Amino acid sequence: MKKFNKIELNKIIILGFLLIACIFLTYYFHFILKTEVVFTHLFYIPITLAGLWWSCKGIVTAILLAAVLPISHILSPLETPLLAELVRSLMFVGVGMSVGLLNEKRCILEDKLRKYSISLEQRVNERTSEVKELQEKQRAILDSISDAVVVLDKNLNILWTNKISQDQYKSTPGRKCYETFKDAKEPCLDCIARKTFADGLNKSSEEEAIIKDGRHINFIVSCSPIKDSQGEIISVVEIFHDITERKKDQEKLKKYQENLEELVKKRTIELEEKSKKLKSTNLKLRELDQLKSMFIASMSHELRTPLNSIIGFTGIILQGMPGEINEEQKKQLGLVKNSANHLLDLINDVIDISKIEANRVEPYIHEFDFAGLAREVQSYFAIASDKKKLKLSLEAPHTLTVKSDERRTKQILVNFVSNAIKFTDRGEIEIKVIQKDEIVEVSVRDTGIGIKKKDMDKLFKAFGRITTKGRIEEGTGLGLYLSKKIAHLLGGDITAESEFNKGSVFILTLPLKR
Amino acid sequence: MKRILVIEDNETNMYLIGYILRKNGYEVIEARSGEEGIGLSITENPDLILMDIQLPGIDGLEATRKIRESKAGGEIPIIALTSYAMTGDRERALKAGCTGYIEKPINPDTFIDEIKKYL
Repeated sequence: MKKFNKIELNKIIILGFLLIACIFLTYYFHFILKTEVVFTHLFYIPITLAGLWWSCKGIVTAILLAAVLPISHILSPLETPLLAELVRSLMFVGVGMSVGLLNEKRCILEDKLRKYSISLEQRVNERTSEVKELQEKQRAILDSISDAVVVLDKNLNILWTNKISQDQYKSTPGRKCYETFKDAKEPCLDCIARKTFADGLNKSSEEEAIIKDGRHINFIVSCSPIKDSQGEIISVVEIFHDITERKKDQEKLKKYQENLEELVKKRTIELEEKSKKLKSTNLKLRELDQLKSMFIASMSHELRTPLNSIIGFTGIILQGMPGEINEEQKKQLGLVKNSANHLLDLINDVIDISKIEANRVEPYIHEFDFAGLAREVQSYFAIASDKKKLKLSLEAPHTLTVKSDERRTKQILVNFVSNAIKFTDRGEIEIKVIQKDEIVEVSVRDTGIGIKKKDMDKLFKAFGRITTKGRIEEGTGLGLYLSKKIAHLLGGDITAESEFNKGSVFILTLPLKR
Repeated sequence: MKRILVIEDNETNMYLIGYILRKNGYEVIEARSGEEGIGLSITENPDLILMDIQLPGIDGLEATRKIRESKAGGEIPIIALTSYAMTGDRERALKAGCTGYIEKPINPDTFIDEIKKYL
């Protein structure tokens, strides 16, 4: 009986009254007035009300009132047709049922509607919260962008901003973009928003501004159109990327570059000066070199000139041309002549060495017969070797054409054989000429006193004379040194092998074609 | 008697060469410079010319060329007196038209024999 709230109670009371009134009326008209008045139409009121209020349950009221009629007919003293009463009763029931059923249906529909309405509301709420969430997310994303983002309409009004835009530039929807970003009263001269509206293409440009708190900033604005489904541009979105730091760095870089250029200029000048100095030093060196050559040339000439007289005249006197000389005079003059010749040899050797060392020697390269040269040298020393009773043999091909400096090659050969004769007291000296591929090899082997192992490295050194007890020092001490230098000059080399007291071999190798 | 023209600027050398030649029976004509030598080569028509390479004024090679150019001097054997020190002296001498060369300092023992080759 919880359902019994005030309205229900009121309904029951009202219906109760109506029912009682109907029954009373029936009694009054049938039993008191004894007249037939169709007052039963009033019965429809409670029936309808009951049907409306309680749907199918309200049919009870209809049935009740429908029953009243036949009962009243039976009980009533009036002569009323039963059929009419029955019909009326049926009509009551009918009406009651209809109203009841209709109301039931209405109630069910209402229920359904309510349910739908509730679920719809629910769904709407869900969607709304989803949308809110999405919006929040979007906003969070956009707010987390460190660049200021604004959406503008055709008249440059701000339609939407993100957080940074608001915080940094104090831009709010409704204001004009140039008011907030540039603190200006008018749009920029080449407003890219306008350009974008005009041609619908993405743009970007570099701008400079002084914002509200007085700071000077540089930024890059990029502008893109927002189009609707028909392709019409409805708004543009602008992104402001702060490049103040970058600009500052660029300025710094520029300064550094300028500094660097200054430095480079300075260094270049310094370098040029150094280069000039170097050039002048080079020039001086070249001059010195020339002086050196001239010195060598003139010195050699000067040194040799007096020797003309010394050698010449001692020779003449020794021949007895100016008159006979005695034995002692002959002996002494002979010694003078020897010394003079020795001096000449020394001068020649020194000149040779200094020329080679100053790279002043140009070998005179031409073809000559190496075998023939060897024979020439052999005959040159024939007398000297005979004097010491040494055998001087030569083993060489009939001819051997070599392209090199003949005179200098001869110089080396002469040096070899001369040494061999000097240092050999008995036995033989063997000259051998062989061709090995592109090389010619001439070896001079002797059975002389040989060279000790420890003295071998002195062999080719200047003035590196090896002295042995009892032997007179002869020669300039430059022979082998010079020979080796000449050999190198001609693209070859000299090697020596020796065994003390057994003998030595000196080998000259030259390229067949220099 | 064979006549030899000696072109040499050094007094001592001239004396030396002249002495040896005369003692060996040659007539010696002396010239102290290239120019003198050229002139004498034409006028005297010697059998041999001994030319010092190192001469003041016209050097020996130039003189040699001049003599070779002249009609008279074309055939006379010219011997260059070369110095060992100078690179390519010999080769240049031969190129300029010298018939042969003798190296200074002169070897008095072999000098005459060497000259005889050209006479």
